[in-house]
Amino acid sequence: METKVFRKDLGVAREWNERRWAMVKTTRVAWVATLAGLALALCLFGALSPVQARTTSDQPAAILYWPKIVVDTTGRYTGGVPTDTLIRLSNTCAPGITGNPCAGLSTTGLNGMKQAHCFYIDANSHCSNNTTQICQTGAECGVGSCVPGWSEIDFEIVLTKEQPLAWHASEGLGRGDLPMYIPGLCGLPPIHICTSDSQCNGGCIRQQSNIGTGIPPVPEDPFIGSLQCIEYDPLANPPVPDQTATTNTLKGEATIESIPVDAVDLASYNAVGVKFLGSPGASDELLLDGVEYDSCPASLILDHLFDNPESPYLTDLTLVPCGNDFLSQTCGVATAQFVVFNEFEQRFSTTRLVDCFLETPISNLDTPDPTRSIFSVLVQGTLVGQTRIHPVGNAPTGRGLVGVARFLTEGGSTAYNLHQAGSPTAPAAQPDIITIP
Amino acid sequence: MRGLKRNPWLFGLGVLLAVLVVYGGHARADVTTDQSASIIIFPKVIVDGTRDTFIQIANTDNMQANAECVYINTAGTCYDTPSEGCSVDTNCAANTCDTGSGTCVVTPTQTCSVDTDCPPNVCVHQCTEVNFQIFLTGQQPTFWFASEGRSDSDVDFRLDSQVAKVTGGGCLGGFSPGRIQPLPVPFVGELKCIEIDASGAPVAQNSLKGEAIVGSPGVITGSVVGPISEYNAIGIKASGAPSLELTGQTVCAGGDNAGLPCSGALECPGGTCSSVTTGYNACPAALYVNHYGDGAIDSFTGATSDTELTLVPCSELLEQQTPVHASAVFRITTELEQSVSCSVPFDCLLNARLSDLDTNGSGCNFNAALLGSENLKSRIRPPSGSICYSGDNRCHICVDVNDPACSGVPLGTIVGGPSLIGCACGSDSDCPNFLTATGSGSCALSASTACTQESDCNANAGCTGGVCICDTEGGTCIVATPAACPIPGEDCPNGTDQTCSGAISLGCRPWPGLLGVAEEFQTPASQIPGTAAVNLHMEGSRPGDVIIVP
Repeated sequence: METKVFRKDLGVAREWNERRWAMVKTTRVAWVATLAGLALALCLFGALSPVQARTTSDQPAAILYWPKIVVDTTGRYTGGVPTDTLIRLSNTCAPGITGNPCAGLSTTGLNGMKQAHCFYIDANSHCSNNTTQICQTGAECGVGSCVPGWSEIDFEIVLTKEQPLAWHASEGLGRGDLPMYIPGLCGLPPIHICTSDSQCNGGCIRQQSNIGTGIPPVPEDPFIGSLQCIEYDPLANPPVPDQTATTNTLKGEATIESIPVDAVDLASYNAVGVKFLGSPGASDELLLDGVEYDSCPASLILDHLFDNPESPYLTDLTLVPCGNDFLSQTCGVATAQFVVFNEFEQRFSTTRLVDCFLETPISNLDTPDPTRSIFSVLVQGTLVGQTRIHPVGNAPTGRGLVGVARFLTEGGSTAYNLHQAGSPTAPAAQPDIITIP
Repeated sequence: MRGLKRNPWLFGLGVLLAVLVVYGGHARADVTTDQSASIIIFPKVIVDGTRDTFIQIANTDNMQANAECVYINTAGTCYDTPSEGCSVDTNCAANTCDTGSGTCVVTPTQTCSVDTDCPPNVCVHQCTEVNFQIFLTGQQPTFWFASEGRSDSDVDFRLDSQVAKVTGGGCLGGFSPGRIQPLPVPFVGELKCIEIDASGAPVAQNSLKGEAIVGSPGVITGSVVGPISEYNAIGIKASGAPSLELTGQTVCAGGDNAGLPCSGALECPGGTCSSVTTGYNACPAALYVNHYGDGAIDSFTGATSDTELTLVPCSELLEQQTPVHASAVFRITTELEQSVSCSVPFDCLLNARLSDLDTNGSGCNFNAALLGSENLKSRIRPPSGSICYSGDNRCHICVDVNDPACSGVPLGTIVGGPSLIGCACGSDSDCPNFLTATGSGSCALSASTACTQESDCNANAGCTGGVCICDTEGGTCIVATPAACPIPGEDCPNGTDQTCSGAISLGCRPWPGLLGVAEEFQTPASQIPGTAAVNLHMEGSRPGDVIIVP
């Protein structure tokens, strides 16, 4: 397990407001809006093409993104409501089961085992005068400022065939919690647990187990960030990204759990997956180019209620880049262009930078004043809207985005996956790249 | 199943509006919950007095989108067996006593979801459908509460009352998608919407998407604390022009598996996965969901968990008013890599807590304590083989005492052909008096022949007798007066020269595919429970589903 710091302070304040506590100053420049409008028009026409989007939130895949992981067990930033995230991950590789990608594998031995190489990306901001102090606004830092920062830790999860696992982000899953922990059994009596042939008369037969798994708790509490896992082949030495015929077998979900007074609140979404396509590439640089791995979509589509500043409900949007350079600690960055349609077919647009991680109420995407936002019901005059999110940019890690939405009211909350349309089709488009240390 | 509403265009069009049929082996799995599609399915719509469903549909295209939508209500009612004698109401466990006949009769208000709600009797689920149309301008989103529907006015009092639920007041507008009827209480069922063109024919525009929020309206307004759950509508994409027999497959071009259906290059060693054919895509071969075992205690919330699973069949015989019989085969895997299996049959829709499935005699076991594992993964698939969709040997759950197949058996009993085991069939001949969808089934030439004049067609051996003419616009011979042909491959003149195109056998067909959503319930002691819904994951695809809409 490694802990690394992506980088510090790109000059854009971070916000992770579950309930619109933080207001973030946004600068808008006229030419940016004009450019965004033109690009969005192109985007919309492009989205009408029959090209298939490629990421998936409803099929097993080889790369999984959980865009939103929240831990705040004391309720510091969640209105006093303790919050944690239950993460579920399972291996759907089922040797011998007709119709499964692993149907052709023998049901014996280590067949069907999979490994997930995972990265927590910590998007907490910290005070400039006390880097151990988590903050959301400069007011929390006294004479200092609240500096956005991102760091990642990576870890391994070994899954036996068909196995489901789950853990709370605040706790992780240590060795003592692993369901299957027997590394091997001697082939001949006396049969006992072994780790090498020298311990047995007749050889040590390795068993399917979770040995090698170590899921740490998220590095901070409170924590806001994302999780990303890449399917590995545990039988390779050393393990490498699984680009065999039996890959694309990981699936996951997350449930954000909160404990308001006298109640439980749950909000679940499916992890967003990217499939391996069959053209092996470098083991340390995964190309989401539609050849090696599926590409990220050209547009995300969010249907939502317009936020209502006069009534306690809002939609909270989380976006993360598809590409990240974990080797050089260069986080993905893209510009997200938003085109909003109301029920009268009227169109509005705005633009926002997504640097590693963006999480905000939609009515703070374009302005710190939600009553004047194009995502406000007071501005739109209709209850629901449809928003297309088109990522642009030329960062070396690509420009793709994935995300999830959470609808919050004073009464409860719920989460749902975004829809998507199209694949980046321009020949010169920089594919999304995940570089693994 | 009764059609409560029909529109004039439907009769003009004929009965067959949309058909999903995939022949052959594995087809492409493009049933999706994160892309727009031509058919969208909301498998769980609840209006029960406590919970309501907030439905959102949007057109993702710049062109107008129209859709034909169908609600299917499967709310359950407790039934006594018809033979149960009585003299007073207390003799009837769930219902009332008809003193005239001396038998127990249904009490309409006695609702249920599973048999255990009606001890010692059975919970019977009717399958009634109502339909309506919606019209969306380019990129237009729309919404309605299922309990109230929507009027055809852009700003109307009913809309105001809905908006007031959310905003706490105020008057908002929006282009009306058309009149949408309010649902009766209770309603437990599904909503299917099929994208159509101006003439009412299905169209491969793939521009519909949707979401549903299930919960108390008061929770959405924020006026009360309570559970709400949201899921994405399930979409079935189409390519080309959806016609009567639709495949929607991609196949391997070159390589070891050339010609075989594929979903990606990984399945085509030495070749590529390409050649999308036209039609609606097939339903998945299997579904997956990760979930707590029922009774598991969440270590953070301290609440007891259970999961409510909702499954709907991909096939629907709405025009024929025939409930589709389906079955879900479960493979439940624990954290310890142990797997157990069971199957649950149902008609129209299954909406049940996993803890209820533990006790309904299906042999299922989702209990965390009994399995020794709190976290489970369930793989859900339809059975292998085929069943009679219609005809004398149709397999179904008895809900009607007047159904001859149900004579002498308690309501709720699964009945099928007496000579069949487990409702299986091998061919249409095992399903006597089966139905055929004939909406556009007509005779056509087996092979097209180019022509420039009538004599070119008369010279065709298959067109002797002047039955064929030259379609000069298309430059091919066509049948001059095509005959309706209810039986595929038969009823067309001139032997092998003409075949029946478009007619679909509703006899022996593969078990219906399954789609669904899961909703987790966490119930803390003496506190308000929490809920959250997730879309099920899908694996592969399977042939044979058919949707026939009036």
